Amino acid sequence: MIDPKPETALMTSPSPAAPPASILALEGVTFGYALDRPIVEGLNWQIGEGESWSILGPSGSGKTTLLYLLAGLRRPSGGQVCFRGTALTGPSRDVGLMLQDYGLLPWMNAERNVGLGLKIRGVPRAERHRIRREWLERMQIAHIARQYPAQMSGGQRQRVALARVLALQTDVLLLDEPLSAVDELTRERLQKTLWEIRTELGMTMALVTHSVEEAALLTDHTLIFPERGPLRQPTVLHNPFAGGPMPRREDPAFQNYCRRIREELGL
Amino acid sequence: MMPTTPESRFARWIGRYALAIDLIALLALWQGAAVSLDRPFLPTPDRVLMTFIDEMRAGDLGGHFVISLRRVALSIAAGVMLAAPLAILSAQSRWVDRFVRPLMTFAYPAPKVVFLPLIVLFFGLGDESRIFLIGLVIFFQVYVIIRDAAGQVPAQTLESISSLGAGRWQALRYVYLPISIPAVITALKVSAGTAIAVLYIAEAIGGRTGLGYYIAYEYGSLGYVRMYAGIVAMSLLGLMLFVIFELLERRLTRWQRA
Repeated sequence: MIDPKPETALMTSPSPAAPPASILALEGVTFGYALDRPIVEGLNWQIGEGESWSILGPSGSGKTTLLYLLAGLRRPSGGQVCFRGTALTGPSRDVGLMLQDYGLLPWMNAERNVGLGLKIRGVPRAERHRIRREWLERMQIAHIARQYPAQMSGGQRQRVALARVLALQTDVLLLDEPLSAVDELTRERLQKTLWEIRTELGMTMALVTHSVEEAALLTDHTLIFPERGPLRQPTVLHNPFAGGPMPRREDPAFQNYCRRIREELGL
Repeated sequence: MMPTTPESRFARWIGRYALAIDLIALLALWQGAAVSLDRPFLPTPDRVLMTFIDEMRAGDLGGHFVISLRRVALSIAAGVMLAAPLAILSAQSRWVDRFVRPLMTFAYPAPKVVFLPLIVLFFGLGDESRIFLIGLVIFFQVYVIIRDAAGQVPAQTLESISSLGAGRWQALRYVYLPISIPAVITALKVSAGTAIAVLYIAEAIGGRTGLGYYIAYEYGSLGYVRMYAGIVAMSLLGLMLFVIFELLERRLTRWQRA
């Protein structure tokens, strides 16, 4: 999935009349690491094609686990996770995942890490090098292309991991706190970049974040984990800016939406 | 790597010449002991050095050195090339591990050197039996070292690579193999020492060639100075291997020292 797909972007722009067909669907999913303590229980949740979701909630509530379920890295003990109508039995090549600890290979420098997914998919060398250069530049890490992860700052590592997953141009993008370690200035720039990329390519996205602002800024819907106990019936908030241009932080409507999310989080 | 804290000129001078200082101290100690003891089985270092040079140039020592070098190199190569893939496979596949590991746990501590007579019966008195014995000792050692290292792949690394679409074969290529390389080199370095030790026994018993034979023969015929020259040659052989593996390590594990 290398070519940008502008026509898909057009097709999937949200229209109130017909809700988008679901690309990822959790059907009665139950999962937990201990049998008596499920993290999600009988959860029904659908992500429509081209939709963007934030997953918010207290630390340790299971946000990352939910993302792993969507990625096919965890098999539910009950129910099923469907990708385009078929139950997932493992990771799909159309779903890109960026892990919280970045998952970079320490023996590969930045550019080889960025090109790894492409290499695994058998993208020819010249093409691979062109794509990875492009994403290194877009993530503003071209200057550290030859550095190993141990030589980078946390924020730089995070950007390498982000470049690696974006380079794959998967239909679905799952991101686990993708910008938590970058500095404030870079974060605002990259939030804008992420928003542009997603809109431009019509990607479906689910984002785990700790930042209420980031959720309101980048995604159309927000799913909120309960304070305690398994996730059964998620609280979902819909962004008033959905489908429009990226919200401005000063906008009272944006601040109002942030406040609503905070209220749901019990803040 | 030079430390970043400022050092006194003296400390830096010591650091640069530490090896030379060590060697001089050792030689002085040897010289002192040889002179004061004055026994035929402890010649002075200068006599040993002269004999070593003579024997290497004109005598048989050079020939024995080459024969031993070839045996050690072949045994290490064979031992590592057989053990490393098995160890990595064993780390990656639970199925392989289930069968191979108990066998290794059982066989690793068993002394392989005592099988030399048996090996000679099977392979004869030529190179084969010596290479086989050294290779056998190294095989188990390398397996144990690499199996431990390759088994320590973080779950996140595997999850990240499988989310990128990697299957079993690609996980082997991009994760298990590179994560094992430092261990392979450690195994090579340890093997160099072990191989030399086993080499002596393998050559000293029932052979007519190699440094082990040379040392044992000179010992038997009271050629003590030449015996020492043989010991020096064998030490050099071990040092040579060690330095090669050290250089290999610097090249291949750059990411670890980053």
